[in-house]
Amino acid sequence: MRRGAGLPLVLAAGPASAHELPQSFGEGFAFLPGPLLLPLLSLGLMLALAGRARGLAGAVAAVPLGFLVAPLVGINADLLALGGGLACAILAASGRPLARAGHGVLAQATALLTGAALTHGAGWRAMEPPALLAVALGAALAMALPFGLRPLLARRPGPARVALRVMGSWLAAIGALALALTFAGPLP
Amino acid sequence: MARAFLLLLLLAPGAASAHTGAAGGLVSGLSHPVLGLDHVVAMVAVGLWGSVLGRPALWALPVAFPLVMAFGGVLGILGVLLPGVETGIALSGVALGLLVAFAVRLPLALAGAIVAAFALFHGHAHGAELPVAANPLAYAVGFVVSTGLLHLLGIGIGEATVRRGRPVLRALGAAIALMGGAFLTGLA
Repeated sequence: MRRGAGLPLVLAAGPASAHELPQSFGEGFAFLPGPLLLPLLSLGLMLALAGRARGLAGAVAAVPLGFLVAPLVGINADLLALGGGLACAILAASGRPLARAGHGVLAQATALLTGAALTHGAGWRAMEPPALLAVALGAALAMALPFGLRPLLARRPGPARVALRVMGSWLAAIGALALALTFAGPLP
Repeated sequence: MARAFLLLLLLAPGAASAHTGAAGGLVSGLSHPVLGLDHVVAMVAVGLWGSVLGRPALWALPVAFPLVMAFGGVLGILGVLLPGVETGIALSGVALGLLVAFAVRLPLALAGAIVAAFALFHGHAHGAELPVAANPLAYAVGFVVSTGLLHLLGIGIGEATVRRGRPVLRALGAAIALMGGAFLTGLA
């Protein structure tokens, strides 16, 4: 009887909305959740401060790759992405140099994990292609945003570098708090 | 005389509790450090002391503070107890104010350690409020940015007053120390 009572509920279940993932280009472009903006901005800032524009191209390509590998990374992709973003922000704030390819590798890994986290671990099949394209485009814009400050870096390198490092410390602080909050419970 | 005054302040810690309000979202986070005078004086004092110390402390302290503050925030979010948080916050105003008032020039590492110790208390106080905030991430963004802007305000005031002579800067430091003392003793 109990099993029989549960059956109508199962049959009457509405369509799974996969955590309200976007399905159109417009929805996808406006989709980027706040917590996942942090790693994207952080890696962009780190690359801009290190003068690694090539690393940005690799990171942009890594986001769609993240959509593909999302099922392998699983639902903890958001924690890993926030961790990667925190490392990028700390590096940006401290101004510490890395080995030759270090910045690029860290940026690409962070972008890949962010891409995986953007699908909530469900992978590329959870969204329609236009939505996936829009999300990747939005992520690329977020990563490129700190590069908009490069003319300022070229004109007044001293004060601009200090200002960007201060920004990096703010991003690192917010990233660390977001990571702790995600551990404590899912962020809205 | 100064030692006796400090001892008196330490022995009579009042209930400086600026952290009883409900945490909301971005506006709440932005306004919290500004509306809590105990935070304002300490944050401005960090910037002023940076001006006293000169470069590289001028920018190193505002970079280090948010990072350590976030660590304190993480402890608060995870429910790790830190004894004497409110006393530590009030004490930060007294100590940093006195350091500015007496134009104490310490090595960068020691200055960083002092500021970091106080940042831990400020971060813990905010972090403990975060999980119950209406929008924890927006609140975190608000209080980190607001804290950073208060540091920049302190640097701006410091740089402007240093050019007009040290007495103005020292008087500001003394005023901050007195205000911190008022919080410490429960007069404010």
